[in-house]
Amino acid sequence: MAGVSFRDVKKNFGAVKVIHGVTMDVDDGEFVVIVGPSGCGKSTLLRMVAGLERISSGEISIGDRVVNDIEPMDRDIAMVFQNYALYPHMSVRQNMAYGLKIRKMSTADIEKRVHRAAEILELGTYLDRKPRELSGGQRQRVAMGRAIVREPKVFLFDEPLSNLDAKLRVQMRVELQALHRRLGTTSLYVTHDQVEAMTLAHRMIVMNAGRAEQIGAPIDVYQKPATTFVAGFIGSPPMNLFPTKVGGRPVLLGVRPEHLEPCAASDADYTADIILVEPLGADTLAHGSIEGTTMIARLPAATHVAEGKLPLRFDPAHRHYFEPDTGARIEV
Amino acid sequence: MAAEKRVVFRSAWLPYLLVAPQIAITVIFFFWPAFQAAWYSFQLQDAFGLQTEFVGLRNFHELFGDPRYLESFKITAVFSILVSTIGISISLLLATMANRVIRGAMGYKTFLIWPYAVASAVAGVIFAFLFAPSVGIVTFALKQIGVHWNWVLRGDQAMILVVVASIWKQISYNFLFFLAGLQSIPKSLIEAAAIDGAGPIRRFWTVVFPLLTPTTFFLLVINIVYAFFDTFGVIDATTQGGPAGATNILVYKVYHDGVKSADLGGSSAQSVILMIIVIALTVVQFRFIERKVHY
Amino acid sequence: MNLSSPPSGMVENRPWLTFFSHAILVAGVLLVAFPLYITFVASTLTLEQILSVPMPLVPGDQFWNNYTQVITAGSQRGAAAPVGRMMLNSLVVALVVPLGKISISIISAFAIVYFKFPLRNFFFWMIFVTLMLPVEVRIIPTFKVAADLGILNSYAGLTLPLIASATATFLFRQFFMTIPDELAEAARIDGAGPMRFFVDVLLPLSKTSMAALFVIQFIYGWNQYLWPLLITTDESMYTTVIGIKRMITGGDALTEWHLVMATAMLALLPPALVVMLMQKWFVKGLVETEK
Repeated sequence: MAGVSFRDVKKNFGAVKVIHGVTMDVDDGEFVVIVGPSGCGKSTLLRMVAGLERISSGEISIGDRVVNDIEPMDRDIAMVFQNYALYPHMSVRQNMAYGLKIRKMSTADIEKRVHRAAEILELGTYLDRKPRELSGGQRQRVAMGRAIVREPKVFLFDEPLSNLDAKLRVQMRVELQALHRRLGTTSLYVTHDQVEAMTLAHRMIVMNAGRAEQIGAPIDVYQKPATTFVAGFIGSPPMNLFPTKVGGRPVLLGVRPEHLEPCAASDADYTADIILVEPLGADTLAHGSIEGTTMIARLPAATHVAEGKLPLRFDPAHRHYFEPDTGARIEV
Repeated sequence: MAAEKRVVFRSAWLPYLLVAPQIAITVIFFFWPAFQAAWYSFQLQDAFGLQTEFVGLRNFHELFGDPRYLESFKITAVFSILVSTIGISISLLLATMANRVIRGAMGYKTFLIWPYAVASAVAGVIFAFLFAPSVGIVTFALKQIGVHWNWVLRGDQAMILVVVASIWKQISYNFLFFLAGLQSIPKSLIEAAAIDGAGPIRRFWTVVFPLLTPTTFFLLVINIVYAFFDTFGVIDATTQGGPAGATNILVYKVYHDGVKSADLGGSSAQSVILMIIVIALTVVQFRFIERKVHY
Repeated sequence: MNLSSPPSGMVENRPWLTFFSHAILVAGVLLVAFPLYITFVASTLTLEQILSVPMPLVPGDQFWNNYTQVITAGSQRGAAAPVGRMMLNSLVVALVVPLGKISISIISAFAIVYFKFPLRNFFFWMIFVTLMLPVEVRIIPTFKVAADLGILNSYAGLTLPLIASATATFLFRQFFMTIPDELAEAARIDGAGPMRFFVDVLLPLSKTSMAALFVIQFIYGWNQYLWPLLITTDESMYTTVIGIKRMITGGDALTEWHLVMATAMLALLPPALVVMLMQKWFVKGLVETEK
């Protein structure tokens, strides 16, 4: 097994820059999630590791080896695609064995590996079926099986759960975690879903418009977002951002919805105009605005609020400040 | 044509090797001859092909000064309009009826599509026999109702003969496309019109027919191309352009002047003009298909 | 377009309209079938029976005589080549043309879709332009090329010029464009080179397109007329469609209609059977090659 390192990796398609220079080291055995909105360059970054896109400048290494000019098959990686990319005319067994066959592995060894993967993924009874005879979740497993049998140094996942329905997605997320614990293979995982990122990642890279805005453990990213973009993208509903001044200097004050508490008017930092209250069961969301800036507060389920004026206290321990122009975090 | 694969293979020589056979045949049998046709069209050749002389646009001048060529243009226009409009109307009627019936629809389809498989020359021979002036069974039937039929002598009857044979062969093609078009119309639209109180005939003209416009237009272009080129066999097996040039469509005239009369320059000039017509028709067809993609 | 979906035309029950529809369809089928029926009847009569106007409308007893005559010996007054030989020639053309066309089209479509190379668009347009150059507009020069290559009166001459096809290339290109990119990427990661991907993945996936194209091109090959007319002068190289035309010697009364009609049956049966028996592929091929 091996780590992956990015050294000022850039990518442009013609004159269009899609990746502006990413530097990072993924440790051996680590599960790193690359998360961001569509078009942020996260898939491109992953595809550069796979060798499916050329690297415009910078270096990517897998283990100790710079892989910039190495063919995908020689990079010792395996990839799971969003649409699974199973060969429709091959059985599950043939799908998993195809890469090994090309590597001229002996039939006995191929059989052994396929069986082991099938066992791990509980695919044993489906080995002779064609992909179209399988459910979405099963196809997803076959795609993972195809990656596992290769015993690669690095797993690459490109939004592998996006085509599944919500319930199955949660289940597969849990299975993925279990699988990683069992195999311990270095993994790079691309998603636009921040819940997947939060739950799966040892560390995550939050990407926006071709830049890595923040790299860190999920909880650190959540608690100390480095930019207003990260503050808005990680966490749902997103962090509230209010323009204000600190010591005469204009700043953006960020407070997560759960850190807004209803209070007596005399204790209030601000008074919100609430226009909609959504009781969700576990908690209640209050939508409205403060001094013309829209906001959301997440309140305990038992709180009774009505539309209209709502005095709110901002939890002083959970206030974040950002530069209004650059969006960068500042410590006050 | 703009759509592209995201990932492509790289090789300095393999793609050239892969396109080579097709390009070779294309160059040898399409481009080189077409280029030569264009070249010959500016030349005059003696009857034995021994001497050639560059004459510029003279062949074209002569062509357009030749009343028989202008007549051939007119004949081709009449012929292709008759073949496409009548053929399309009959096929649309049959397809609409086949789309209505549940029982036997497949059987009707099977028995309507096979004429597609008949070579145009064979269709020509069969119709020549049916309508043969002395022995034809249809000729006999026509005589019973007082029609004196002899397409060997009468130009209008010769035209009717080649039109009927050409339509007969093309009905299957039109029928299949209309049936496919009809079946792709959502049933809910027809039902909505029925609930609005529109009867079957009104529904057809106000809902179904407008939705079939793309198919109809497509078939119109295809049928014109068919009448221009693919009916060569019908003509050659029946009238051979006669009598007195009454069915001498452009394609037949090119063949006749070039092969039978060995008028290289004149035939080549006609080829060039035909080529321009084909290019125009192809452009129309592709313009339309582009629109169909967005439709 | 799905041709097997239930009819959408009928939304309410109107018995008279249904009856009317059937009546029209039956009339259509009969009109379309009438020429075929007469052809068949004439092919089972003697020439005298045909010449005694009107000819009988029920089959006669000359089926065996007429068909063995044309298959083994041909007509007596016109071209005397046996139609059996011509059918063999037609079959060769009808098999070689689709096979050749499918082969060269699928590899060129593969190159154009899956490779990026400097002259790619140029080649694509070259293939596209062939649509605008039907044999009719280049009759004599193409004949000359064939003569210079020494392939007059040969199978190569009958088939080679017919196997270049823009429509077949477009069909495969169209089909390849619908194959997800990820499949090629997965194959690359699995270590498959371009040819391996072509053979292991693309070819098996193209089976239905190939079958559909084969049916259409079989008919196209069998029914070729102008080109064989130009380059075959040797009776042993005639195709059936050419042969039948050569049997018509002139005036009505001189033509051996019973033999001509038997030959017509032999010329139209193989492709008609292919259409009717492989209807599914035929319809698919017809609809897709015209896209």
